[in-house]
Amino acid sequence: MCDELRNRVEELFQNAPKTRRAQELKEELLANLIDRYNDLINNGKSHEEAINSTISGIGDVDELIKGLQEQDVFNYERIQNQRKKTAAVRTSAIGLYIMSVVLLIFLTSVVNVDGTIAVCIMLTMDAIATCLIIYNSISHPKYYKLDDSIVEEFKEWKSVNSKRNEILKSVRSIVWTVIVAIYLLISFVFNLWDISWIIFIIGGAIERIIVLFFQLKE
Amino acid sequence: MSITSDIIRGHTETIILANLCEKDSYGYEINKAIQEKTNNQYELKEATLYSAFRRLEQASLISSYWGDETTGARRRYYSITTLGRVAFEQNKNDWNEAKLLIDKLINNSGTK
Repeated sequence: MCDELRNRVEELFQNAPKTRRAQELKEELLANLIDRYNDLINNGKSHEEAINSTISGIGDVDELIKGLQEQDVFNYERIQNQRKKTAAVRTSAIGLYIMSVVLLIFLTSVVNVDGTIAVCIMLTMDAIATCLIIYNSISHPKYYKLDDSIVEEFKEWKSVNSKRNEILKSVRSIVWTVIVAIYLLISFVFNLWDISWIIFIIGGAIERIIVLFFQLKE
Repeated sequence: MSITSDIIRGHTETIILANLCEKDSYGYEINKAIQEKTNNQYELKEATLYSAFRRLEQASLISSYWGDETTGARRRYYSITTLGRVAFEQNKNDWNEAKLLIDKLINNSGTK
């Protein structure tokens, strides 16, 4: 009898979006239908009567299905808005990076400001840009679900839980922090600003090697 | 019966809230309670019941959780929120006022 009711519910939800909410609604409905059927049987109804009475008690599910779809549309709009905001923040952060260099060149060669002050201003601008990007990526989920289906949920789970990615990301950020620290240290202590930038090129190579090492190890 | 249903339909949410005020419950139990309270004169269609659940949940008047049944299908339980209790009191007062007014307007006009 369970199967008979289950099939009936599946039929009714044929046109519903294949989302987790719809799945839950089906499960909830089925549990209640089984309860109702059992009650009717206990009250001395025949199997036929109980099934018919249970199914006619469901009523018109169109409204329910429409409700499921509306919810998805709402989510979609919210996600689109969030995407636009993320794009705006990232674009302005990158703009800041570029402008910081332009400002550095302008201050040192046109206005003749002291080099150290100009570099400080540039680094401050870069710091603001970095903060923007970090804040943006922390405050939003890493993967945006396209709809509420189980497949998308799995993708989200995969994206968030991909341990390998997490480790690589951490390693990368550590490597670059160390490189910047070495660069500043050598440059300030030995006053080698003219050639110390080579560290970044070497650093890039070292980063690739480390990433490659991790990938080969798997 | 169909006319009565139409009048009651507008109060489905309040009826559900009234049931949840007593204790947490699930769809069929609520429907059964409605049947018993009305001496089998009224019951909700499943679709009506769940549409009302969704609306109430979206308005944060009720919250839901899955039961831990080990046999058969899982039940989804609903419980009323503080906001829900406030809304229920408000709806109850509205209804009582409306009831008095409609009584005055309909039942008394014929006798005069």
